[in-house]
Amino acid sequence: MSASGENSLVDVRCREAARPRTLSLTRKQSLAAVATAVVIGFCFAVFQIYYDARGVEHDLERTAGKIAQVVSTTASQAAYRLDTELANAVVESLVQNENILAASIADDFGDTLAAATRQTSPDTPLIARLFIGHQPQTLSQPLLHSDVPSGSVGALYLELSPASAGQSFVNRAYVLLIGGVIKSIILSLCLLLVFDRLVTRRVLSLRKIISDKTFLSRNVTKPRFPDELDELEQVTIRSFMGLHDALDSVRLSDAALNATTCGVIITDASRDNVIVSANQAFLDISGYPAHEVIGENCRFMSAGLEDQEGLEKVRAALAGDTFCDVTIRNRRKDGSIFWNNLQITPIRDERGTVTHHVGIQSDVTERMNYQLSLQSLKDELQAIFNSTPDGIITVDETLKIRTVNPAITEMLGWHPEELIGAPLNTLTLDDFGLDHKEMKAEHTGDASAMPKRMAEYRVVKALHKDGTQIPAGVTLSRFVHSGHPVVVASIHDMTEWFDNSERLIKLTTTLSDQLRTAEAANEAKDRFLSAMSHELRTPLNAIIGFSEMLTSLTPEALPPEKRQEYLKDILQSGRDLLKMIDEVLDLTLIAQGGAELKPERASLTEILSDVLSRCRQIIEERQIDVRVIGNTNINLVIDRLATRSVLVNLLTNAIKYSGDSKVVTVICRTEQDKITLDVEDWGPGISDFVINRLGEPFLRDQDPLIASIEGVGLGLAIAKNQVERLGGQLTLTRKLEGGTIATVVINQADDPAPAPAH
Amino acid sequence: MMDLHLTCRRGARDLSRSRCLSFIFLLWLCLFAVSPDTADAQDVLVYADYPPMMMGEDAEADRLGFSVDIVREAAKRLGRNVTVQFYPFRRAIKTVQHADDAIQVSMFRNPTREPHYRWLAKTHTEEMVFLTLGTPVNSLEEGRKLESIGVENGSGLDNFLTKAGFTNLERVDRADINAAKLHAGRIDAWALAKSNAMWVWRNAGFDAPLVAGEPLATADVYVATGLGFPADVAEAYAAEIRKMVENGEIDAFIARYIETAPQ
Repeated sequence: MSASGENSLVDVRCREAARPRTLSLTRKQSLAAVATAVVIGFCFAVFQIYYDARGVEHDLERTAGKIAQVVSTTASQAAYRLDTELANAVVESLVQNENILAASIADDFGDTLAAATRQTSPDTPLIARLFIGHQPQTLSQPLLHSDVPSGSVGALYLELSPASAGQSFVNRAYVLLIGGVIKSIILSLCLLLVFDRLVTRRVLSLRKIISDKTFLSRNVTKPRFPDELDELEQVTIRSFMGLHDALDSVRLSDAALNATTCGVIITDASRDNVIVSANQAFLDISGYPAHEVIGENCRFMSAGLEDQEGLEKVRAALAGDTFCDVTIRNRRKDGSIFWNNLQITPIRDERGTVTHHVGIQSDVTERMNYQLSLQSLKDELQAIFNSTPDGIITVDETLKIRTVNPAITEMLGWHPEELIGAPLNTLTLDDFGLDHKEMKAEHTGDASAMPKRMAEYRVVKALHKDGTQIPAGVTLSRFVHSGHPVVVASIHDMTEWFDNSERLIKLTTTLSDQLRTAEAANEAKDRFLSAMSHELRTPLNAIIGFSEMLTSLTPEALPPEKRQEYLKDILQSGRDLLKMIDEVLDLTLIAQGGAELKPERASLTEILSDVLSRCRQIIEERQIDVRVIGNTNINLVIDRLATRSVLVNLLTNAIKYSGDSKVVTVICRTEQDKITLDVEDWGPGISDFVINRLGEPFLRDQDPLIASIEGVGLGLAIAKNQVERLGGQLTLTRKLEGGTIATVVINQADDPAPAPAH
Repeated sequence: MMDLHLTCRRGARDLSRSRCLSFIFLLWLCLFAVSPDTADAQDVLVYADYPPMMMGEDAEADRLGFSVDIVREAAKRLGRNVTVQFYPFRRAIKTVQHADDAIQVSMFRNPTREPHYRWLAKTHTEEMVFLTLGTPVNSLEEGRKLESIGVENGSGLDNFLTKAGFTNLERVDRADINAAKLHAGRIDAWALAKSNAMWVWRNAGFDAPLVAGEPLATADVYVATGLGFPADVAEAYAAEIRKMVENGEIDAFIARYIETAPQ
């Protein structure tokens, strides 16, 4: 320790021990003994001089007191008589004495009767000034007289001269001083000689034994008459053998302390824990040189950083003499701050009293910064984990749930403590579990070889705590933790997505329908305009043309039969126009909900008769053979007008499109509570275009042959709408052999009694 | 009252402190229980040695000098109790100057003394003369021609002659010494108040006739107190003494001592 003390462990005591022994013990003893003797002799001489000086002062006071006593009677008489001449005589005689510098007599009225001062005053020697002082002393002697009631007639004042006794005192002082020193020196030399013979030589011999290692290994012969020094020699040899061993151990410990990178300091518990020792590592860590830390409390390293929880632990440990291990922030000499891992251990003596504290310090700044950044990252990830709206769980290789984020609780109602450690199928249905079983099988292989992304996004059914199933989108990924695979499942609640999808589909469908309706309406409008432009113009042109001819031609130029023919044409055109307008109005009325239906009891026979009657004109004009087949003797409760309208339109259409066959068949049949009426013709047959768009107004077949047949395309539309109003259904069927069947199915109401036959 | 005070001081040596305090308390009660205007009021008549006005320390109690008798008679008429106290002359006049209850029974007035005293009343006039055993010396001029003249040291006459340029003065402390020196022929003349010199000469027992010259000066003799003496009491004393002077009673007091002077 001592050899490398300045570079390693700083220890003041070791430095003391390292001082070379250059002085001989005898010489030191001689010097010390003589010096001690001189000092002691000098001190005793000074004490004697001091004591003599006190005696001189007292002698001076006693002498002056005696003198004052001698003259007091005379002085009292002078004071009593207020006799200034007598008083002057007294004081003049007093100042003749060498001990008295001045004398005065004052009366009892406070007036000075006489005063005298000696003219010459000898100088006080320096030594006398030191011990006696040079300030004159004052002595007062009261003057009494029995004839005065108060007894006092004044006072005698004497001023004593210390210099009077100075010279004799100085002479005595020199004798005492020199004599005392000489006596002390002679005595010390004698004692020194004796001490050298009896002690010094043997102690020097002992020192040789101590300093010579080889001598320690020799056997020392015991003297015949051992004394205390012989015992001391034996004990010293044994002690130093142990001490050498201990010193070797200390050197090893010192080397270990210097070799360590940890800062080590030792503080003195009895002196506010000031640092008494510090190793080089501590100096390197703190940046302070040794002389600035030895003798200082470690608080200087926490300047400006006192508000730390760790410091409270340190203070508590120091106050309670307990061990502590804390990490605190300290300040280097250059002001920079570093993290210090500090371990404080109390050192106790054999009585258990804590005498020192050992502080072991490590600069853990890098580690702390890493931990802090790691903690920050962890906090950030935890915040993400906690705040993400998707549920996240981790699953170990045994399909046990390891981690659950709060979104799972919000999504599925399970609390984390209910899920952690629970099997995965707590959260999933069987099909989801099967998937993971497959995944588990994959995990039995090499974990490091597993793909990071375990599966594609899939929609599964998650199990809510209340037992309900929730559609959830799951994405799986994995990582390896401590050599074991961990699967991360990100679960997204798809309920809203599905709800939205369904609503979107419905909305799309609705929009498509509306679009189709709008397109149909637009198309119907176009068709209406097209049809109307033709169907309206034709009768109107006929009416206008014939009317112009009738008005422009004179009766002479137009024969009566021609006139009659023209008038019939005008009438027919007007009827056609009226009929067309009625149909349009009917359709409009039906599209707007139509007139209120008025069900009434009616016979199908009557209804068919009424229909045939209404269609008689066209049947006759076209010479169509209308055949009614089946049982028409059926009573039903139905709106007669609406039923008639349906059948009139269907029959009219069948007649118009019957082509060359000239046959139209109406087939009646009942099935349970329904009545089915088929209106069948043998014409060219209706096209799919019309079948698929049945009910649309102004719809005309694209077949030129059919399109050439007169009509505005309202008959089927009116029929379909009326059938639907009656709660029935209208379908069109094109026959393979040609022709079209219009089938009306309506509910048969109560009262199945047979209708009267026609 | 003075007796009580002295008794207390002597007794205090033997009394314990508490007993002394108790005694002082009783004394305090006595002081405040008695009115200061009662007959217990004490005046101290201070006198010195200047016969026959003041007969000195060794005089008989009933012959302390006519000045003492005059003031004591005045006090008696005023109903005030008095004690007498002898002091050497310088102490006597200094004591009266500083005390509040002391009366100097006779004192000459001079500029030095004038502001320090309350002068109550003149009792009589003294004549300052040269006294010889043969040819009288009747003037200062005659006196200057003498070889030696005896005077009392520091007396008024000493100051008077010194200021007058006398260099032949021999000063002694007592008048009887000058009487003896004159009788022995060691001085040519003796300067003193006439009545005093006659009393001292006769009291010394000298048979030779003492010759008095013409008066060199006269000096009025007064009764005086210090400035602290109560003014009303002082005025009462003064009135009484003036009354005694006016009706001639003073002469009777003086005659008592002149007529009975030693032959």
